[in-house]
Amino acid sequence: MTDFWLPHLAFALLVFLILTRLTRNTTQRGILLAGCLLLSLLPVQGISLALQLRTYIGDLSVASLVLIGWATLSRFGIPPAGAHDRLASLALFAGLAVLLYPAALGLSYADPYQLGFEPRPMLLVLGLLCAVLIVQRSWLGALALVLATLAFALRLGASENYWDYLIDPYLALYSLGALLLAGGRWLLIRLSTRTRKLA
Amino acid sequence: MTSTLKTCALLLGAATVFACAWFGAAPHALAPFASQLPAPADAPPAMAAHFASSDLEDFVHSASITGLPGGDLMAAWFAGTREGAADVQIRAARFDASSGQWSAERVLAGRESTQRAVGKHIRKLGNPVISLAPDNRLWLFYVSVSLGGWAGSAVNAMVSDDLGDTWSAPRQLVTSPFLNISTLVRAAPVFHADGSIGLPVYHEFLGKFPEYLHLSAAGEVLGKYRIGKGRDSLQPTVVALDERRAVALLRYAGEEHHRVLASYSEDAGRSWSYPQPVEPSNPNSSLAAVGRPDGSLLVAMNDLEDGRFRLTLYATDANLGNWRTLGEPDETPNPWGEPIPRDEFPAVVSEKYRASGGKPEQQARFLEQVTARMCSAEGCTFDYEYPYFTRDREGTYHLVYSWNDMFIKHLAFNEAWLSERRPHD
Repeated sequence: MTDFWLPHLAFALLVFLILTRLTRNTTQRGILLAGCLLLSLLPVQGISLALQLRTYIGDLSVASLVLIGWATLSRFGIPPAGAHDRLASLALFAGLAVLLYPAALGLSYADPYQLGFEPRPMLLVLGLLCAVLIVQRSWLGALALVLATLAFALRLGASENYWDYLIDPYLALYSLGALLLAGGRWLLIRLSTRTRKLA
Repeated sequence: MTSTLKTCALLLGAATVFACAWFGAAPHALAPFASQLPAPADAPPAMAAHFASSDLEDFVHSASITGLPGGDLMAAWFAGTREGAADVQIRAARFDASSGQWSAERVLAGRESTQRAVGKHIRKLGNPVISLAPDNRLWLFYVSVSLGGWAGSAVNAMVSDDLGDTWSAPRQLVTSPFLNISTLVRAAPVFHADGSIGLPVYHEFLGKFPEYLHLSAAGEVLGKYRIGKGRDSLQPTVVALDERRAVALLRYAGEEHHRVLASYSEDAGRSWSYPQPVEPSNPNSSLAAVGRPDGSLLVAMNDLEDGRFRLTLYATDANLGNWRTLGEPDETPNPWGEPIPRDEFPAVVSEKYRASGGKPEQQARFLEQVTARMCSAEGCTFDYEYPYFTRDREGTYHLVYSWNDMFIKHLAFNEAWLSERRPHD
C-alpha cells in the first residue's frame, strides 16, 4: 500500500462521501471513515479494492483530493466552502481543463501537456492566481493549488508532470458541469427578474 | 491588522511552495543524439537466418532485438493463444554469438506480475521494445491495457543492470493526462549524448498520431513531443541522421495516401515537420528503419497496397528521395499474395522453414500448427510483418519480424552483404 497511498486515500474519501448520509453523528462518521480505509485494503483478484477502482478511474489529481478532502472534513464540522469560494475554484479548474484536454488529445500540434514537464511558466501564472485567490479569501482554490504544487515539488505521485497534480478528467467534468449549471441558473434568474419587471 | 498579517503569512507560505517547485523544475534541453557507430572494418559478406523463438504452440508477434556486448543479442516479443488474449506474455531469448544459437525462451513479464507491480488490474499485454543503452543498462518497454482495447494502453518500463539476467519490477510511465491511457510503443529507441532515451511512441484514442517520448537515463519521463497530429499515422520509427537531425518514418492508417509518411526534426527531437508521404506503399503495416554509416537508411516494410505477404528491404538516402529495393527477405510464392492450394502448402512452407533455420525435429509439429493457423477453405496464406531493425556495436544489422505468426525470424547481415545486393529502383 505504501507505494499507492494516494489511490487508497482517494478510495476511502470517495466511499465515505457516498455513504456519509447513512451516519447521524461525528462518531459514526469517524467509524465509517476508518472502515472505508480498511475496505480500501481488501484484496480482490490479487490487488486491493482501491487499486481495482484505480484501474477504472485512474489516479485522481491532488487538487481533486483536496476538494473531496475538504468535503470530508466539512462532515466533521469544518465549515464548507462558501458559494463565492466554490465558484472561484470551479472557474479555475474549468479553465485549466479547457486549456489542457482538447489539445492534449490531439486537436492541435501544440501539446499543452508538454508544458507540465517544464512547468516554470505555469508555476508563474498559477502562483499569481493563487495569490489572487488568497487575497480574495477563496481558500478552497488556493489550498488546492498550493497542495498540488507541493505534491509536485515533492513528486508524491507517479507522474513527472505538473498537470497530473492539478487536474484530472473527473475534476474537469465536474468543474465544467457545475459552472454551466451555475451559469444557467444565473441566466434564468436574470430572465425571470426582467420578465417580472416588464410585467 | 491581524487579518492583513494572516494574509501576508499565507502569501509567503504559498510563495515558498511555488518557489520550491520552480527550483525543482529546471527546463531540460534535449542533448544531441549519441554519435553514430563508425563503419566496420572490411569483412567478407555474411548473412544468417534463424528463428529466435522456439515455442510452437503460441501466437507470436511484435518482436524487437538489441545487440549485447561481445556480439550476443537479446530479442523480446509477445506470445499467447492469440493477440490480445489474457495469457499473452512478454518473452525473450538470448543469442549466443559463440555457438550461433538462440537460447530457450523465458518469460520477462506477464499480466499478473505487471498488475502486482503497477497497482492496476491488467487485461492484456502488447508490444515490447528491448534496447541496450550506452551505459550498458538493458531496457524493456512494453504495452499493457487495463481498460478497453489498445486505446487503453500504457507503457511500462523494466531495466536490467546485468544484461538481462535479472530485471527490475515494471513501472508504469505516466505519459498522458487522460487517465494515463493511449500511449503505445513499437519501434527502437534512440539515445542522446547525455544518456537520455528518445522513445518513439504513438497515441491511439480519439486520434492516431506519433510522438517522441524523452526519458532520462534513469527512465524518468522528461518530455513528450508531438511528431504528427490527426487520425492516420502511428508507430514512428526514428533514425538519428546527425547530432541534431532525425527522421521519423510513420505507418499510415488513413484513406488518402497509402504510403509511408516521413517527418524530420532539426533540434534533436523537440519539434518535427509536418509528415509527408514518401515513395513506398504502406498497407497500414508496421515498418522498421536503421541508419547506415554513410548516412543513408535501411528500411524493412510490406511495400504493398494490401496484405503483408511480402517483406521488402529498401535502401534510401537521408532525404528519402531515392528508394532502391535490396531484395525480399520473405515473400509468398504467389506474387499477388493470393492463397496457394492446400496441397502445395506443406512443401512450400517446409522449404521456407528449413531455409529459416527451423529445427528438423520440430518440422512435423510445425507443419501441423502452421497449417491450422494459415490455411482456410480458400487456401493457405503467408504473413511476414512487424519488422524491427537494430545495428549492433560490431556493425552487423539484425532484422526480426513475425513469420506467419508462428516464429520470430531473425536475419543477421553485414555491410559487405548489403553491398553485394544489386539495388533496383
